[in-house]
Amino acid sequence: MLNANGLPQRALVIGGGSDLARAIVRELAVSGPLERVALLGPRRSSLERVAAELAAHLDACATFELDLRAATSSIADALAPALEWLGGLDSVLMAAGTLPDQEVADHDPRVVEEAFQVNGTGPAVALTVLADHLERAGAGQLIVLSSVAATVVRRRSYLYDASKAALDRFALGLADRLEPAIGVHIVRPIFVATRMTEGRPRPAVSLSAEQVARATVAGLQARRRIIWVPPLARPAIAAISVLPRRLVRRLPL
Amino acid sequence: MADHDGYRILEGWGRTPRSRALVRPVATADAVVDALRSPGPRPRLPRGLGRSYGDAALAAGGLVLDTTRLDGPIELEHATGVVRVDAGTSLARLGREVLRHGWFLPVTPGTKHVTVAGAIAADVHGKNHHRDGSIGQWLRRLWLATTAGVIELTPDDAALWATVGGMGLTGVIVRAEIQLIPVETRFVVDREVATRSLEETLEVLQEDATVRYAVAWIDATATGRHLGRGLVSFADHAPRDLLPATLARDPLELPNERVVPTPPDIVPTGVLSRATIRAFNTLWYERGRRRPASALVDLRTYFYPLDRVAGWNRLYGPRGFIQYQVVVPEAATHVLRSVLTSLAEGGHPSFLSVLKRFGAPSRGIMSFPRPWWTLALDLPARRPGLEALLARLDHEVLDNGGRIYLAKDGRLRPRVFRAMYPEHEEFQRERARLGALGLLASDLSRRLELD
Ligand SMILES: Cc1cc2nc3c(=O)[nH]c(=O)nc-3n(C[C@H](O)[C@H](O)[C@H](O)COP(=O)(O)OP(=O)(O)OC[C@H]3O[C@@H](n4cnc5c(N)ncnc54)[C@H](O)[C@@H]3O)c2cc1C
Ligand SMILES: NC(=O)c1ccc[n+]([C@@H]2O[C@H](COP(=O)([O-])OP(=O)(O)OC[C@H]3O[C@@H](n4cnc5c(N)ncnc54)[C@H](OP(=O)(O)O)[C@@H]3O)[C@@H](O)[C@H]2O)c1
Repeated sequence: MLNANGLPQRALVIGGGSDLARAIVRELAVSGPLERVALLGPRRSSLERVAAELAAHLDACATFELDLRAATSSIADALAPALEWLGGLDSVLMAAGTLPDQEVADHDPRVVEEAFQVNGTGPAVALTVLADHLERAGAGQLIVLSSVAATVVRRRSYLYDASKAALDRFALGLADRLEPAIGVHIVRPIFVATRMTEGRPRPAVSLSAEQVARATVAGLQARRRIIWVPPLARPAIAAISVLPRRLVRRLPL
Repeated sequence: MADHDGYRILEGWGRTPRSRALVRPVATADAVVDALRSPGPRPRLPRGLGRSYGDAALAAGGLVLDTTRLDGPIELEHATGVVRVDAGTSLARLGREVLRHGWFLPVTPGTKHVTVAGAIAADVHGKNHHRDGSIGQWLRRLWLATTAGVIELTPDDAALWATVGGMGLTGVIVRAEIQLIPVETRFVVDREVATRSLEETLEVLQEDATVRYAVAWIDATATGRHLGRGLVSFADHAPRDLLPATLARDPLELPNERVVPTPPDIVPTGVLSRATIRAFNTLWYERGRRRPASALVDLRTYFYPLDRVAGWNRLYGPRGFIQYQVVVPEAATHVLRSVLTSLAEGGHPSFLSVLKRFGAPSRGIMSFPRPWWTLALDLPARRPGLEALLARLDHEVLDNGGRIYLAKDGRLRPRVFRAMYPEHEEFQRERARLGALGLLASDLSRRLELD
C-alpha cells in the first residue's frame, strides 16, 4: 500500500534498465518503504545490471522481459507475470524511452515509427492495462517520465518532442480519469546526464539522475500532478511558448 | 466525494493515505451478516466515524461497512451503571445520555466523535489509563457479527480479546455491554502545573498516581534546556458539593455545544508552517503558565478541547498529517528525548504533543497500552525527509522495547510491526478461527502484511 507519506511498498518499473529508473527506485527504497520491485525492459543485460545495484536496498527485485515495440496483446501478456509476482501494486514507474537521431529520422520513416512505439504508443498501451489494474485496486500511483521536450517542438529533435508529447498528453488524460483515488505524477525534467544523452552536447544547465529522483519523490509526496525539474523550467517554457514560431525555430534549444 | 454506484474516496483523520472503496451503510445486525456473506468486492471492513488517523478504516477496492447507523436506543441499568449500546453509537451521544443519570464513560479518547465499536476495536485509552486501564477492561459482553452469524462473547472468550484492539479484523462488532463510572456533576476539577524541562515533566507526571486523570501537554517546539517543557494536568470528576450555587442547578445536564465551523477545504499547505506551529506552542505554554493552578472545567472542555473546531484536521492542508504515537518502558526516557530532538532539529515540529504514563498492560491481544511512557505528536505529513526520520525512530523505539499505536498509524513497516507486536501470530490464529482471514482486511492490515 501507499503509506501516509505517499510512498510505495511495491513498484512495477517499465524501462527498468534506465538510469533515471534506477535513481528513482533507489531513492524510494533508501528514504521510503519500497521493498519489492519488478523491473521490465527489452534487454536482460541492462535489467540484471540495475537489479544487482538495487539488491542491497530491496527485499526482492525481479526482472521481466517487455518490448514496447511489440503488439498490443504481447505487451499486456508481458505485464501479467510481473503483476502476479508483485502480489500487489502501489506504484508504476514509466521510464522507457528512446532519443532518436533526428537527422537520420528526417529521412527514415522506420525510425519515426519506432520512436512513437517506444515513447508513445507502447507506454500508452501498457499504462492502459496498469491504470485499469490500479483503478480496480482503488489506490496507488502512476509516475510517468515525460520531459520538458513534451512541451516544446524543436527543429533538431522534433520526433522525440512529438512522441514524448503524445505520452504527456495521454498521462494528463489518465490523471483526469484516475485522481484522486490514484495519484498521477508527470515528471518533466530538462537535460539529464544519463545513458540516453551520452555523447550529446551538454547544455549550460543539466541535471544528474539523482537530482531528478529527489525532485520526483518530493513531488509525489506533495501530491503534485506535474513535476517540473527544476521548477524554473516551467516559466521558461511558458516564455518560449508565447514567442513567435519564426523566432523559436532559430533558438539554440 | 461519492461517485456513481456507491464508490467513495476514504481517508483517515490525518487525510493521508486515501483509497477508494464501495461504502455500504448497515443499520441492523442482520444487515451486517448479510453484507459479510454477500458476493461482491473484497476485502470487507467495518468503519465507524473515521477518527483513526491512518489507514485502519480504509479498504481499497473492497466493501466498507459504514456502521454509524447501528445506533438504536441505549439501555442503561440505572442502579449498576451497566449499559448496552449499539456499536455505531457515538461516544458523544452515549456520554450525554448516561450523564443525565449520573454515569460517565469509564475511558474516553481525546474526541467524542468516535463510535463505541471504533473505541473497542482500537482498545482506546484515556487520561486515566495509569489507574483505570483501557476501554476493553470495562467490557462485560460483546456481540460480534461473522459470516456464521452474530456471536455473543464474554471476557472469558479469546475471541473477545482478539476483537478488543483487533482493528476491525476479526468481525463486525454490533453491540456491547459496558460498565460505566458514577459521577455527580458535569465538571472536573483540574489542577495544572507548568514544567520547564522533560525531567521535570516526567517527574511531575509520576508524582501522584492516585489521581484519576493525568496527562502532560508538551511544547514540542522547545529545544535545548527547555526540551520537553509543558503543562501537566491532574483532574477528577467534581463532586456536587464543590460546585458554586450558580452551577449547582442541573449539574448533570450538558448545555448545547458551540462549534466553530469547518475550515474550507482549500487551506494551503503553508498555514501550519514551522513558524506558526512554533508561535502557537510558545503562546499556549505562556498562557498555561499564567492560568490559575486549579479550576472547575466542563467535561467537554476538559476531555475534548479539539472538538470545538469541526474538521480541524483540514488546517494541515492537502498533504495531511501523521500522528506518531509511541509507548516505551519506564527506563527508556532517552527515546522520548531522541524523538523530540530529532523531529525538532529535522524541521518537523509537532503542532500538538501529549505525554502520559500508562498503567498495567491492556488485555487485548493487539492492544497498544502497556507501561510506561506514551508520547503522541502531530506532524505535517509528506514532507521531504520525514519518512526516513520516522523510520529511524521506529527502530529506536523497537530496540528499546517500545511500539507504535496502530489506530494512529499509516506508515509502519511490516518487519518492524512484527517485532513490535509478536502477538500478531496469536491474533492471526484467532482471526482464522473466526473465519475472518481472507474476508476482512484493511489498507493497514495489507500494508503490515497481515493480509
Ligand atoms: C482528536 C482525536 C483524539 C484521539 N484521542 C485518542 C486517545 O486519547 N486515546 C486513544 O486511544 N485514541 C484516540 N484517538 C483515536 C480514536 O479513538 C480511534 O482511532 C478510534 O478507533 C476511532 O473510532 P472511529 O469510530 O472513528 O473508528 P474508525 O476510525 O472508523 O475505525 C477505526 C478501527 O475500528 C474498526 N471498527 C470500526 N467499527 C467497527 C465495528 N463495528 N466492528 C469492528 N471494528 C470496527 C475499523 O475497522 C478500524 O480498524 C483520537 C482520535 C482523534 C481524531
Ligand atoms: N536523459 C534525459 O535528458 C531525459 C530528460 C527528460 C526525460 N527523460 C526520459 O526519462 C526516461 C528514462 O531515460 P534515461 O535518461 O534514464 O535513459 P536510459 O537509461 O537510456 O533509459 C531508457 C530506457 O528505455 C528502455 N527502452 C528502450 N527501448 C525500449 C523498448 N522498445 N521497450 C521497452 N523499453 C525500452 C531502455 O532499455 P535498455 O536499458 O534495455 O536499453 C532503457 O532502460 C525516458 O522516458 C526519457 O525520455 C530523459
